[in-house]
Amino acid sequence: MAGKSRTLQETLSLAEQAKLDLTDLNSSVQSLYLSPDMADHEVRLLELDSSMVKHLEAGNSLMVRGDKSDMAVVCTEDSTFELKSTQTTNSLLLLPDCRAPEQLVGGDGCLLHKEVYCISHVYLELKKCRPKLKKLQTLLQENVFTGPEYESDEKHTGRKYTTTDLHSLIQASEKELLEELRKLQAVHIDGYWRLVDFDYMGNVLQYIIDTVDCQSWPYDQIPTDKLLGMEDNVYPRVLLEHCLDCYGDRKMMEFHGGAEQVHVLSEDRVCGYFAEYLLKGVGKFNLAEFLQTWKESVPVGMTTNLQQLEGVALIDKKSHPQVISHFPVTDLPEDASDRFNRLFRTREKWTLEDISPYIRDLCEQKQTVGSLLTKFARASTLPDGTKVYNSRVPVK
Amino acid sequence: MVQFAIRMPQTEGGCPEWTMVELQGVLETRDSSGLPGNRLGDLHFTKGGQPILLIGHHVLHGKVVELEKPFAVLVKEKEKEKKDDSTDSMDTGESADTVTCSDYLVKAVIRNKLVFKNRPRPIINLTHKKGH
Repeated sequence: MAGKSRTLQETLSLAEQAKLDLTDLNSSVQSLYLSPDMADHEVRLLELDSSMVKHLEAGNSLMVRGDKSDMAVVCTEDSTFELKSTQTTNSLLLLPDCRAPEQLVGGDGCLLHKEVYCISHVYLELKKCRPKLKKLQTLLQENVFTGPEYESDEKHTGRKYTTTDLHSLIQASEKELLEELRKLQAVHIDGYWRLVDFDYMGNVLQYIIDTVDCQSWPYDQIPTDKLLGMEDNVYPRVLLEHCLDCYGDRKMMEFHGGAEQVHVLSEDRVCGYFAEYLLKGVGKFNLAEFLQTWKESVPVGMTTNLQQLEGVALIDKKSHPQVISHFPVTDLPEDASDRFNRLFRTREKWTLEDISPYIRDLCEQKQTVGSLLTKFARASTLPDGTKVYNSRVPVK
Repeated sequence: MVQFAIRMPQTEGGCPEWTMVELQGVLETRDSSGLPGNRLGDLHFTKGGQPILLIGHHVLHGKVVELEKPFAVLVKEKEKEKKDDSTDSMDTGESADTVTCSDYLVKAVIRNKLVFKNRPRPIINLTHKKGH
């Protein structure tokens, strides 16, 4: 074994024996040694895209969140990636101080000793994935807000979660987590994220509608500050505001006195609430009767239509009479194959129109409802010409 | 759940850049001395920039490849200094079901690799025995 005393001459004579054209070689040679401490050099190789390198260079972190049962994920501020370990039969040598050819040219030849830090056969890869959010709903259900007066009773001893708590429990990026909290209509009360009891939310909504009617404000121009500032409000300000945000949208309106913030009540979302209120816990509801009752229950001036029930309720057109039942997409599994299994268990054959609201949220980047169906369902045409989808695999 | 961060220490001159040398198969020594501390071989570059590696009595012709996706070399951060117990956090703090592991630091970024994919050519006239 030649030690570090090896000379440039020796390396060149070896190159000559190897029949290399010395005139075509750069005159400097790098002699590679394996570090004596190689075994202690524990490193992990992580494949990143250039944008993540820039993210790290700017001083930001990537968060790794893993469970014993879950796969580990890596989160940036706005996206989630699955962490996958890949084995290779090749040897990957890590060389801290290798000179590139352009750094070697010119001058007399010299021999540089370079140390290989370690040899690896494994690296970690990242694959963009949907955040794993289902657990969020379950966690928040441990202590649902049903009104300030009930906060200290025995039904409200369940755990409450701060944003930090949720980050440590949910495999999602900050942006995705906050988006999901908004989708679940969670409200931030006294530092904790809480789901609001469905009936309690309805009472707040009804109170807002009554107040708006009483003040003769138009539904599309509710003066936010005036409503929240009313002295005899029976509901806490934070919940009134939350309810306005859930069932309306903020907008700045120009009045003669200057700009004022208003809430535009969403007809679709308000009507959707009343539909769920009627359908929840009922099972099947005669469609004709439901439509009549629903129409009569919504605030005067609002119009119901079946599109407001997308992803909330399912209509069975084949039964006589036709029936409707509560079937919210939020109650379905988040894993795609589990989701399809549940859908095909509920109904053997689906039309594109019926199934779309129940799978749209499963689409990964560049994926469409159509490509999901190609993967998980089989298309066929009924005698009447309707195209339907059924399961590709036996339903569990 | 286990949670930790991957960070890049903010140093002057930025994160060091390393090179990866990719060889097919596994390196072995002729004797049982093991790899650590041993000489691996000589790395030449042709004037055109092509890498040539002489290992034992083998010649390997390779090429320089710019990685489409760079690698980060991660090392576990050494035990942090004990934090003050009197943190001003009003939160319930770390939840019991969360284990906070030490963070990983980006020791280097690898943007280029030297790949030696071709079958090694033997050096025939080798007059004296090499270690490996």
